Amino acid sequence: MRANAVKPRSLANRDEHLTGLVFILPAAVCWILFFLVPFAQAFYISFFDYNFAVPDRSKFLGLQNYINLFQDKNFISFNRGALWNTLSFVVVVVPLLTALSLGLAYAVNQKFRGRGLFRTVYYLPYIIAPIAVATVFMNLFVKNGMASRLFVVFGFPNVTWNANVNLAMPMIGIMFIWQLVGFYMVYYLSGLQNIPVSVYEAADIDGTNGWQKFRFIVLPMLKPTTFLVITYATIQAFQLFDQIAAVNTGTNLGSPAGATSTMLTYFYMNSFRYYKMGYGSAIAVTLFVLILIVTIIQKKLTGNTDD
Amino acid sequence: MKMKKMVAMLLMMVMCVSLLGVATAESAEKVTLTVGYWGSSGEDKAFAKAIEGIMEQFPEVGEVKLQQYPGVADFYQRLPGEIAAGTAPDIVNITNEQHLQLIDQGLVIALDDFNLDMSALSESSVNVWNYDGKQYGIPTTAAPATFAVNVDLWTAADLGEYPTTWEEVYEASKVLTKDDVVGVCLDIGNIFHPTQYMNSFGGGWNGGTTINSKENVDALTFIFKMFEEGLATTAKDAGKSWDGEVFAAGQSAMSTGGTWYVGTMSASAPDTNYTFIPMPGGDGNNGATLHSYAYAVLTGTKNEELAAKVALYMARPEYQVANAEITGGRPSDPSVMETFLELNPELAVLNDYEATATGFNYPSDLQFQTDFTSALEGVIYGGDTTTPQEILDALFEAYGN
Repeated sequence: MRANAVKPRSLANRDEHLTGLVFILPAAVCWILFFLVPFAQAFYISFFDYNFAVPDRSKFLGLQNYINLFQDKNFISFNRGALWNTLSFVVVVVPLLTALSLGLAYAVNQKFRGRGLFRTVYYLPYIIAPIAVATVFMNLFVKNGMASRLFVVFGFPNVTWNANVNLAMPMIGIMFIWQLVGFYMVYYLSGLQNIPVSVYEAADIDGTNGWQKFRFIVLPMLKPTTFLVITYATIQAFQLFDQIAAVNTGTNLGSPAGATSTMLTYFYMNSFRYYKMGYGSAIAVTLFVLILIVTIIQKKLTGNTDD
Repeated sequence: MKMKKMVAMLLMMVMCVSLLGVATAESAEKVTLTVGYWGSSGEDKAFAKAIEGIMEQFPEVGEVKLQQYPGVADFYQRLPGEIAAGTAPDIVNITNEQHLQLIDQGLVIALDDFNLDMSALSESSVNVWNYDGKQYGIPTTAAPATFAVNVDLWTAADLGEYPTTWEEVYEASKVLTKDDVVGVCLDIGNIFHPTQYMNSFGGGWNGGTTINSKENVDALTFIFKMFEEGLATTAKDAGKSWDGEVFAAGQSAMSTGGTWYVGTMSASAPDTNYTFIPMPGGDGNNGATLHSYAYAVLTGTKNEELAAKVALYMARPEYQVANAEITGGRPSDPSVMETFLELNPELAVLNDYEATATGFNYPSDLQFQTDFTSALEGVIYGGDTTTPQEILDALFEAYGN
């Protein structure tokens, strides 16, 4: 009788598992259909000289695409190679973007008149189409343009940045940061607002100054947000494409002379312009592995253990 | 029992009628053809004209659909996937700048087996669609490259006759380059422009076999000299997206270009006086390229012969008139030339040298175009010290077949 009245523990667990499975099913199906299957396909194709339109013409190459990729000067060269361009972009832009987002969030989290307006204004660039942003930036950074002349003060030459192999990528970086800083500011803003006021009050009682509060309260308590921001920003930086496509309208992605070539633009050029799908897939798989490695390292470094 | 027999007979009759119906429907099943093209400058109206009357002319065609792509990049990006999925158009209107890649990859079919009569179309335009002795396209336009000169700036500089050699262009550029104007817009980001110099120096690509010829080296040496001395600019350097904008803005006095300049000039610089002249020739020839749109039939089309014949029909004069009126496309059919010149009298000079204009003949691997322009950009924008000979030798090694 007792056995009938109370469900055995194993059965209850099974029900819980089933419920859980039902809840994650839509997301899991989407993940399988839109990530796992295409990724498996790309991984498979990366071992072929693949003709997408006429598959019969495809040839199995084994690891040759990967071997060629790591011997391809357009990819690995320290002088305007896609891999180097991408890594240096990530290393320079992500910390700058993170620091600026945090700084802006900290500033607009203070109590002052018109802070709502500032928050809105900083967020606005994020909702502007990259092509429009690129058009404006190209005019600002043209020879004798407003921004080009401004940067002369800091020792930069008065040239068209987009037509200079040393300045084309920095212009993209400025554009990238300008467009995303407001977006990540919102992340930090929500993180800041989750820090209980009582913690600040306790710090006040202990006689801490503003910097000490920032260093010993704000930064540690924003660690999960920082992990999120760095991870997302890193992925976005690795996947840099729109801004480069917009400033290179009418010419090759990566112009001038490969200075703005990134892993994603190089993947695009190989897959969809040269129709070298196998080689392009090898680039895509390499990009995936790279992002995975960087994310794992970030997770270890930031000590984030949330699953 | 009687009832059973009757039911069986009835079922038999129903089955026979059904089968007959299916057979009749199959025999009457008509073909649907899809025509793909890119552009957003009214091309849809021109192609609507092209497909008029197809069903009367070809009773087996039940429907013709037009499939528009926003731009050339979208078209080439989507094409392989669409062919693989069986959703690609049957007929596409493409240009002879990337067609060798499509031919090499087996994406378009040769039309020789279908006895198409293209005698009404200009010989040079038909020739640029011939590759390895096979015809891959039915040309609908034939636009030789040209050299645009800003008459206002030229006259103000009191330079007299227009240049006929590159040396004269160089000398004129020294006079014309001042303030915010440079002599020539030479858009190295687009291989079309350096190719005009290569060809008119007596060189050219020839599918890759003559990449590092002496003529090409001489042409590239001349190009670098123009930039070294500040006599040339690029669209990118001028903060513009293409050379026509630079010329229209009066930032360059001369530019290699094409028929498409007419629309840009009338829209952006209607008060500027300009003219087109034959491509100056380094060794005295004209050497311009012939840009041509053509209908091609894609691999995977169910009825290749029908598609080819419909494509030829679509290239008829009525379409070419509409195309000339709407997009400014220079017709491949000489019978339409009079109408075209009434609309674009400034382009009359092209008639003088269309016969000597040739295809682009780039190597079929499109990465060649990127590597070539990238090498030029390295020297001009990046201060690379690679010589013209070294650049062309390296490219020959990679793409010289």
